[in-house]
Amino acid sequence: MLTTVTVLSTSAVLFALGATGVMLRRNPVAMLMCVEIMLNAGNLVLVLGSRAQGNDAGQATALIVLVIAAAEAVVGLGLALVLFRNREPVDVDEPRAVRG
Amino acid sequence: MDVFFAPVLAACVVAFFSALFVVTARGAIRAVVALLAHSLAIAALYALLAAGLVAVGQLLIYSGAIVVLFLFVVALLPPGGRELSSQPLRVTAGILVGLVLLAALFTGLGPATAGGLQLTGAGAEIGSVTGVGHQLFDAGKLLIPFELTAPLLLVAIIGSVALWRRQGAPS
Repeated sequence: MLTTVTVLSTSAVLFALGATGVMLRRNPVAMLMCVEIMLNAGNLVLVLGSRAQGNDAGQATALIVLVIAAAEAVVGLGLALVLFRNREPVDVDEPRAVRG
Repeated sequence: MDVFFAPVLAACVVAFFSALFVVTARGAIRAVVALLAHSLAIAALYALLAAGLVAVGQLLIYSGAIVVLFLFVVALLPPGGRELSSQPLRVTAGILVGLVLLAALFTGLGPATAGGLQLTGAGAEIGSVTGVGHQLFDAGKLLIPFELTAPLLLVAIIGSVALWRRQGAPS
């Protein structure tokens, strides 16, 4: 019970922390890192639920979420590199449009 | 008390503080190294929660591939990813959003824990490669979402290459 509460509150705190970081940071690479923290927090709840229910479905879903996180990181980092190529220092508020 | 409680608590503390450092660190390289520590702590938590396969996946995909990809991008950036400091309004808004989200999450999670989300003795049977593989590949379970991740990755590859070439230098 104590373990469950600890892990569950950790993942809630991590999710809120990641959301705060997305709002706070102006560097797109740092924002992506905060999104990764939020994804990890969600995955942690999936794995915990899988353990509590004695069911493998949560773990399989967590693996799929890992793949989605990888795809998101690839596209996001590509966008960040395109932003950084032209402007320096970069600010996500600055570009009004990204062609591509 | 659960025999796993002390290691779980330690991994949770490491995951929290490394995430805090990712959010607050000024230098991008430091943030990436903190993200690596965060990812390793999360992998340890997965292993402690009887999810060995997910822990290995986390190590290989997150710590091995994604964090290294972040490191490469930060190293490629011209000024090492220099960042303007956040305005006070942005800091206020960010902290406000975080606190509201935290309150909402704990309100939602309260009934779940009060209902006795117990770690039963079923831990030994779950987390095997066979079990997770049956979930992923049996028709009627997660087969279709799992197969759809293949076109998703393909689209991500094509998208990032197209984005780079369209924006790229005339060469």
